[in-house]
Parts: sequence; C-alpha cells; structure tokens
Amino acid sequence: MSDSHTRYTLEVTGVTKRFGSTIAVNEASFTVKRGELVGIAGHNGAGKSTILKVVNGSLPGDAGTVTLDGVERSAVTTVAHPERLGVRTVYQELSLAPALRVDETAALFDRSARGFRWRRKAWRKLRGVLDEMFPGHGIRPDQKIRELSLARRQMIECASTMVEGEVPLSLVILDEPTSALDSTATASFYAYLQKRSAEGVSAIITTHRLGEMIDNLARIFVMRDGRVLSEQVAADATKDSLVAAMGAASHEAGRSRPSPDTPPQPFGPDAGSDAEPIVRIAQTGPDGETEEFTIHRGEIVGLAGLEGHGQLPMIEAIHRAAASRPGRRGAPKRTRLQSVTVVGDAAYVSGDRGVRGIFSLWDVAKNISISSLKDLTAGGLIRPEAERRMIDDWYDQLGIKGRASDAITTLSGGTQQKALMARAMAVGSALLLLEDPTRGVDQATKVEVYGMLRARAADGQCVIWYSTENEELRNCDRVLVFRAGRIVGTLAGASATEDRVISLSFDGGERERTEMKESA
Amino acid sequence: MSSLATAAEATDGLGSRRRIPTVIGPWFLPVLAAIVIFALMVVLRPPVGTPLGISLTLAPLIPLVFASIAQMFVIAGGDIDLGIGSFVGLVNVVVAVVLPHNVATGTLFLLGLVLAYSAMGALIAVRRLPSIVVTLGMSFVWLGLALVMLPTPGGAVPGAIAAITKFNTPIVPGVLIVLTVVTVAVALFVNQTRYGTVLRAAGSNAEGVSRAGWSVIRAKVTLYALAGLFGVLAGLYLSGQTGGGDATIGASYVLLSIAGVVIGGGSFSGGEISPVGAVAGALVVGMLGSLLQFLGVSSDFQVGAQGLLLVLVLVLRSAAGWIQKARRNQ
Repeated sequence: MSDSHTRYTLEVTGVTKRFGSTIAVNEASFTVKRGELVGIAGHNGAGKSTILKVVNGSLPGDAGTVTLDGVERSAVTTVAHPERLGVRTVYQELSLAPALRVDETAALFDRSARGFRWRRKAWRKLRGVLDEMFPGHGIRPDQKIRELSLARRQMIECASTMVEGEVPLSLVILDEPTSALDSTATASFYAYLQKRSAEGVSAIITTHRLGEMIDNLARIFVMRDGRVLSEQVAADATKDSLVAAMGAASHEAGRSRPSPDTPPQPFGPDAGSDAEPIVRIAQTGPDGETEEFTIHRGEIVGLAGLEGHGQLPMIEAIHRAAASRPGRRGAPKRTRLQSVTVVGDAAYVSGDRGVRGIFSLWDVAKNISISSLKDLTAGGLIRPEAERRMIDDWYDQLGIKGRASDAITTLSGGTQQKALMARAMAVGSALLLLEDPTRGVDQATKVEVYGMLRARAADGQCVIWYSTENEELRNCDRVLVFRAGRIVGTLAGASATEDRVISLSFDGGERERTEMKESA
Repeated sequence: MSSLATAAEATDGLGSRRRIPTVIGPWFLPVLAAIVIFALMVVLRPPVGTPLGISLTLAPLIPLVFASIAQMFVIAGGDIDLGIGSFVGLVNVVVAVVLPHNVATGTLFLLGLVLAYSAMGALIAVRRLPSIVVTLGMSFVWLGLALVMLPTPGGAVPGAIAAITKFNTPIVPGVLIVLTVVTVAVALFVNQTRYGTVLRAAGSNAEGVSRAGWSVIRAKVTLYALAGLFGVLAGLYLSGQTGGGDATIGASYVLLSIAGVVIGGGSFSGGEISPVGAVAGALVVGMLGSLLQFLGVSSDFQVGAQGLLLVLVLVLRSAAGWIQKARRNQ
C-alpha cells in the first residue's frame, strides 16, 4: 500500500459504465504516476469524458475500483467534494457564471480566501497562476465573465484549477483544456503543467489535438468504444500511431491536400478574377493606402492568426454585411480596420454549440430544418413529408447515426456539430461562414467536415472559415492571416503550414508583404 | 517568449483603451430616472420637496420597494415569483386578524410563512420544477388562506405596527432612513459578501457553482427565504399604513415588483441583479403614478401612459448597453 502510495497518484481498474443498453466505458484500466502528465485519446463517444467523471466521483460507475493516493474506493460510489481529496477538474463545457466578476469567480473556486478583502485575496492568488500560465493574459479583476472572450474564460478556468487550495493538489483532470486557446497560450499552458508536475502534481488530459499530447505529455492511453486499447509512450508515439490505435487509419488520407483539380489561387491581396466576388474586404494599409481582398465563388478561405487578433470581428462583420436575400448586395459593414461588402446571403455556424448553436430542447430533425422552413412550407404550414425528405437526405450525406427524432442533446458534441453544419448548408446560401466549427470534435468527424466543405465549394458555394487550429487551415484554398486586427498576409492553402501562419502572426508579416509587393 | 509578449501587447493595447468606467453600473439609469421623476414632481408641486412632502410621497411606496427586493432575490436565482402579491396580502390579513388576538401565534404564523417560502425554494431546486408554475400555484394557496381568514376587508392592525411604520425624525424623513438602511444592507450582502456572490452565481450557472463545491439547493433555499422575509416586511409595512386587512391588497405587486427589478437592471437570465437598481426601479414605478396624476393625465389614460414610460426606460437602458458594447468592440 505504502509503495503504491508513493508511486501512483491514480490507479483505475476494470471500470465499467452503462447508459441504458450502451456501454460507455468497458472494463477500462489505467494508471497515473505521481507527477506524470497522461493523455487519453479517442474519438468523441469513445468514453473519455465518462471515465473521467467516474474517476473524479461525479458519476457512479457500474463496476471497478478507483485508487487515489493509495486509498481505494469502489467506482460505484460518488464523491461529493473531490476537491477535498486533492482532485480538480476542468470540464469541456465551461463552468463559469457569466454574471460574476473575475475576482468573484476566483473566490468561488478558492474557499480559502476569507475575511474582509476576500475578493482581492482570491484574485491575487488566481493572478499569480494566470501570470505564470498565460503571460500577458490581459484579464482584469473587475471584468464580468460574460464580457470575456471564450479563450480568456478558458484561461481563468484552467488557472483556477491550479490555485493552491485548502487541500494540496494531487491530480488535475483536464477535458479539452486548450480547445479555445491559440498555439502560444497552449504552449505556455503546457509549460506550466510540466513545472507543476515536477512538484508532484499529476494530470490527465483529453484533447483532440494529438500533436499537443505527443509534444507535452509522458504517456497516452487510447480509448475506443469504451475500452482502453493501447498505451503509448508519448516520446515514441506519432499522430499516425495514435490515429491507427483509435481505429481511424483510413481517415488519415483526408488530411492531405484536397483534390488537385481545383486551380491554384494566385497570391496577393487581390486574387483577380473576372466574375464578381462574393466578398470584398477593403483594408486601410499601414501607409494609408487601400488594400483590397476578394473572395469568389467556390473558394474556401481560412482566417488565421493568434486568438483575438481580429478574425472573429471579421467573420461577424461579413455575416452582418450579408444581405437577407440571395443575389442582393448588402450594405458595407466595418470592423476596426476593414470595410466589408457581401453579395448575397450567408449562413453561419458557430463552434460555441451550447450557447450559439443548438436548440437544446428540440430533436435533431427540428434543429436541422429550422433555417430552411421557408422552403418547406406551403400556405404557411410546414409540409412534414418535405421536411422528412430533407432530413433523411442530410442524414445520408453527413452519416449522422441515430434517429432524427432523438433529442439533440443525446448526440455527441461532434455529431451535434454535424447537425448544425447540415442546418447551415441546407439553406443553400452563397456564403457559408464557419466560426471554429471543429472545436472539441474528433479527428474522424473533422475529416468528414473537411470533405463536406470541399463538396460545397465544388458546388460553387463560398466558404469562409475561422479556425484556432492552424493545422486544419491546409484544407483551405487561401488563408488570410490576421495580426492586431489587420490582415497581414495571404497564404495559398498548401503553403499554409503552422510555421508560416505563426511567423506571419508574429513578425514575419512585414517581410511577407514586401515580398508580395515585389512580386506584384 | 518574446513573441508571446508581442502578442499580449497587441491585445492588451486594445484592451486598456476600451476600458469602460466600471463605476457606472446597471443601477445608474434607474437611480437617474427616479431622481428626474422626483425633480419633476417638485417642479410641479413645490411642497413635495419638503420633509413632509417626501414622507407623503415615498411612504406608500415602501411596501412595493420591499416586494421588489423579494422579487429580486427570486430573479437572482434565475426564477420568477408570481405569488408575491397574494403573499403580501396574506401577511396583511395575518397582521390584521391573528396578531391582535395573540401576538405569539401571529409571530409564529409569519415565521411559518417565511419557512413556507424556503420550502417552496427547496421544492423548485430539488425537483427542478419551473418556478413560474410553482409560485403561480402557491399564489392561489396564499390567497385562499387569506380569504378563509378574512372573507371581506376588515380587522384591525395593532397600533404598535402602525407606529413603527410611521417612524420619523424631526430633520430627516423616516422613509429616507428606512430606504437607505435597507438598500445599503441588501446591497452589501448581495455584492460584497462571499455568500451573496454564491447566490448570484447559482442563478447564473448552477452547474458551475456545484462543480466549485457549493450547494445549489442551499443557495436556492436561501434566496427564497430572503424573498419570503422581504415579502413579510412588505406586508407588515402595508398593514401599518392601511390599518386594516384585505386579502387582495397586494394583487398589483406581482407585475409592479417584476417591473421594478427589470427597470433596476435585473435580467431574467439569472444572477444579474442590482439591489440599488431594484429599489430605484420600484420607486420609479411607484412615483410614475403620482407624477401622471400631477400632470393631470386622466386616470383612464394613466395606466397606459405608465406602461409607455416604463417601456421608454427599458429602451434607454438597452440603448446604453448597446453604446457600451459598440465602444467595447471598437
């Protein structure tokens, strides 16, 4: 007992959890050594979130044992206050109260801050972690949570987990902790985790960003259909080996360049085409000159850069600039540095499913058809058979499993996202706007999404895509890179490697621009 | 690392420039509106500005202020209370019928009512019932109880209670002291204490609060207990002012208290409340009636004009929010 106490923070043995007839977790076992950073990989629905909830005691399992710091408990029991055992969890859906201020939020997590200046005490401790974890985070204590960007909320949540509490921290469970963070913040986050792990804090991390796991963790357990199938030492693992273990080797091909028959798009601010562009972005350059960027039919254009550098305001401006009816030209709308004009209508898919996407009380069918009801009605009444035909059609095209009459909340996050994409695509707008559509979505679904976008583009639809994952921008025809609110460069999809995007996002922009000018 | 600093400066540079003075909270507009309305009343009838005038204008609004604070606690939890009107009526009847005969029974009865409100909160929280249904259903229970005890208006409120509500000082009107003390106490509790924060958080994101290790059910029960307490205070004050019992006397408080909270910067999404705003909002709602009377608006049009002015206040508030947002996004 004492031996395991020193070696292992956590031993999970034979945990099983059923939801009705489906087995979410099947005889899963794994261990976490003291001060070890461990990853759990797997597709959505592989059982990662479920097993983590059994481990932290918020969900009763059906069988198995969980041994924490040498203390064994049956997985069937729940734990009311895991934080008193030194276990803390960051969940995939954010759990901050939007109505509170940042320092009040800090105090909510940190019960040790008491007395007259409780808010200031709690904030000082949280800021200590924030400053170290995300230097230059720019969060102030008097800001309301609802006024913060998704990334900053995630920073607060990650940091508050690490604040010294009444019970010393021994295990942190992080479910997609970096899904809204850009690559720089992600890197400093892992650097901090590694520092704490040297002090003996263990962590379990699940993320769909496999590269992140390989680069930063010690061991990776791969889950599939509720089982822990393989254990890989991160130093030896590759994306291919992980993907193969997840049982999706066939999808790997989807990440290579899209079909070669799409003509290579020319470089530079003005893509130059005879047809009228769908989107026209005019930007005041650093020397006061006007630069114009145009986006045409059949193009997939990515918006890249560090989080919070103007991509979101841009995609929102494009959405506002879109006309309500196809073929019309909307009134120009402004961001801080650009003016946007759009011809035709647009459909918008947000990655923030829970808040901005799904109607959580409706079934899948209604969630998909809501945007297309105009085409499905006769004399003001919905035609049920037309609606059903449309739903069946999209179920086939997207390969959504289950029945259309299921409640949307019974689907996994990735499938919900597919349903939302179906909703947007079914409208048949000239322009499809995607705001980080693959946030928290597994690799296989991502590949399917890329394929769907390619098909829409081939049909002449125009896709504008904001992503926080630089890797997936390779699926775009062109990538516009933002820095400090300005478009600082255009990359052709094939050349939009993570390195190029990052170098443009920081300081490579000026050089790139001069190159562009010289070549023009 | 140097590159990270560059990125941080880029975002931070924007951040510091769009900083909005946090001094102007959601309470600012309702307080301004209350002052403007009061000033208009003084202009129309100068005696309103005297200590006696202030007492006569504001005293009848104190029960509504208490009812709005009660409503505010329920709205803070993301719920809504449609029973507060009947509840105030029931308290009024208890004070006029039970209390004069037996002080102990009457006091226990009132305490029991606060407990009943907490139990209602527990029921709503544990069974996750919609508050709109539970409180509406209970409103008929309160009204029924009151009518059983006192079918027609009557009874006599003990003199001591009437004396308390007429509390006054020679220099500062007693109403102002009561209003200030209650507002400051509630605002300090809601905004400055740790548990007040937990209460607001429970309305804003219950799941998150329980993950942080706090009991959502206890928070909800506390909110409803506070609502019950202020409902009883509203009933006591109203009884002292009217001197008699009437089961239906509080009927208008349901919608007026909701209007007061919402005008005062509260939002139905839960957790977004302002005690100062709610008090000011209740005063705005109440004083509008008097102001319209002063302006000679026929009583036929008064209710409609009152409603229009309320909408105007809300439009102003949303415009202010919109301007703030636009400045933030710049």
